[in-house]
Amino acid sequence: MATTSRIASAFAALKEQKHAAFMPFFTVGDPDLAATEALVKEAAARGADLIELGVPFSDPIADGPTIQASYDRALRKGFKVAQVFELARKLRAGGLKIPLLCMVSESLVYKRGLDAFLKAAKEAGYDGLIVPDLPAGYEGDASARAAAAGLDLVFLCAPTTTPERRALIAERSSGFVYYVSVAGITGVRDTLPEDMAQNVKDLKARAKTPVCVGFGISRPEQAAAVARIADGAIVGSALVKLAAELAAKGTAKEELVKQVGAQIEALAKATHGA
Amino acid sequence: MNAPGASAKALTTGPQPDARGYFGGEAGYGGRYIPETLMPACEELERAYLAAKNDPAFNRELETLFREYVGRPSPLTYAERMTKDCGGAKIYLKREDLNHTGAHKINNTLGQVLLAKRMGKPRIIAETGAGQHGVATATAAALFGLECTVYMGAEDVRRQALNVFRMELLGTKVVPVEAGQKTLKEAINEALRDWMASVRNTHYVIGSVMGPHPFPMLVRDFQSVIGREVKQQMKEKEGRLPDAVVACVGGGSNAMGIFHPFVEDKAVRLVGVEAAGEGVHTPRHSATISKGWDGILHGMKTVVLQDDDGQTAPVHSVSAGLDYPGVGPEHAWLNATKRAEYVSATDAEALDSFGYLARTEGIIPALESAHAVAYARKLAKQMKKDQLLVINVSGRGDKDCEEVRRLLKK
Repeated sequence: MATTSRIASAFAALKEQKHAAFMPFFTVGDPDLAATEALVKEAAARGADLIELGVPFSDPIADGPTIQASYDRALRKGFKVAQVFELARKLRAGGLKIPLLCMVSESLVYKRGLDAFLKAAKEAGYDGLIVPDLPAGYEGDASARAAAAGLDLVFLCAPTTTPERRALIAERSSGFVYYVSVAGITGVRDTLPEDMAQNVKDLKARAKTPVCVGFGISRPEQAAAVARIADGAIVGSALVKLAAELAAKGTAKEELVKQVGAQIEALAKATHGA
Repeated sequence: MNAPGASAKALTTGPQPDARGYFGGEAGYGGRYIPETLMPACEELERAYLAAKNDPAFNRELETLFREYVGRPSPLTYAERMTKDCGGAKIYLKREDLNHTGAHKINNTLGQVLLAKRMGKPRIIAETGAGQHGVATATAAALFGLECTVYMGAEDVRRQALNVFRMELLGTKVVPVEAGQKTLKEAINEALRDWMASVRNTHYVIGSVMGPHPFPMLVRDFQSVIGREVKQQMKEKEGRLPDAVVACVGGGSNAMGIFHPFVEDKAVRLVGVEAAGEGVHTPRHSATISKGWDGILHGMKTVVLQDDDGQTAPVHSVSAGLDYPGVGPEHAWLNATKRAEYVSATDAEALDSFGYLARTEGIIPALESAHAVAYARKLAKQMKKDQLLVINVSGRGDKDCEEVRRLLKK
């Protein structure tokens, strides 16, 4: 492509500073839309390098119980897909500069139509899509159409992925490769799995793009451990869970954002300092 | 009935999905919309299945189990009083209700558990709605000494306490699922989630012709024993093929099983009956093909009931086995190509036919099968007396008696 994407620029800048990227995940509309907007701004101010926004779906087969519960809460509050685009528009209008990725089920993309979804996402200010139920090799011409729309299409790679598929994923993924650290679903786990270092190393040798690791990272020391072997660490469930617990206790929005922000800062510092 | 290995050949007849699991090509239905974590498992399963279906030893073992454990072939019973009462086509009943465990579900679970054994996987998981598939899976797992966990919506656990007990008696662990509507759809989500974390030692026995490729194909193949038997039995009794075959459709496995061997016999009408619940013009139904749109759910592109954003819609049917917002992709394709027709029957019609078949033929059908009976009664009347109609009685109604008694008291 003629122009460098915001995602590629962000990773290039991090490489110069010899930092791994820190990428928090939030569910759009949980605890509510205003809170998601405030959390993204807070994350950017506290050291997040890219941000992933999850689109609530009624039947998320790729997500763990924490994320599914957050999707259910947002849907019960009347979440609509259009709000995902409105949110990015508002954030960009407010001066947010870092890359935004939209994690969305193929069910929702298909319903809107791929080109319509890509166009709306691009216009709103997203830089890439992660579609966890659209595996590499089954995407048809989706990558080409995403590229034509000016968006990266990120593919996931799992511990169970065969070497043949690892090569395919490395070749087809744009923006970065998303390595799923545990053969399972998103969630908060105590330890990092043993086979991760080997798999990430192999993937880095094959991929043209950076390799980020997500699923199962919750604490700063885990983020640091990931940062030593990968190009980025993604934290979702731990932050969503913290926000949900605070919201359930009736914590005021400002205080909730501050407390999640503090956790993000600790994770970002650990990732950058590794 | 067949020479050893003959069914291997039979399993491959009829239309097949393409290499990526689409019926009718990429513009059709099916495919594999799943997280990367499950890709190796689906690829492994596809390889194992393709090898097994061409292996005479596998087919012999399955045939022996069908004959000596399930009690196949299931009879094709002439419904004399119903035929007279309807006053049209000559009606036959395919008696899947007489199978061990009381429904067609066992055909599929034995096939899949045999496959799991071949793949060396010591653990089995399954989802279940009313509990019939759960019981059939628990039965097959017990027969082969495999560890088994069944996911069941908490609401269904409450409604189907007896089936929960049956599964536990068979040595299976039943896990109630508390998310969402707490029914079948949520149980599938949870089973898929378990599979993602356990895929190396676990096989997921999907209960219908749905999910990612190769499940719709292999479940159909295991169930197609129903249609193959009907074909042969009809030839013996009437010397020809039936004019119409009627079956209920939730996910659609009993219908696919009886339809598939007839798909290329264009003169045979194939009629799928969906659950219209309180009526297809109300929001409370699960008539997916009649009222749904193309979409993606549970790993497949098919017809689904969803809102304008693509969120899955809540569904309803008096019968828990038809209470599903999607349908097997091959049905979506048979509908699109007009090879099969899809109609619906309401809760009230199904309840009426539940008692009707009991009184008229001495057979209490499952509430699911009662939907097929309800539509067949209308269809038979429109057909000529020298025409032949087959109803797939996919299961027996003992499991529904308590619920029906409660509903009739209202």
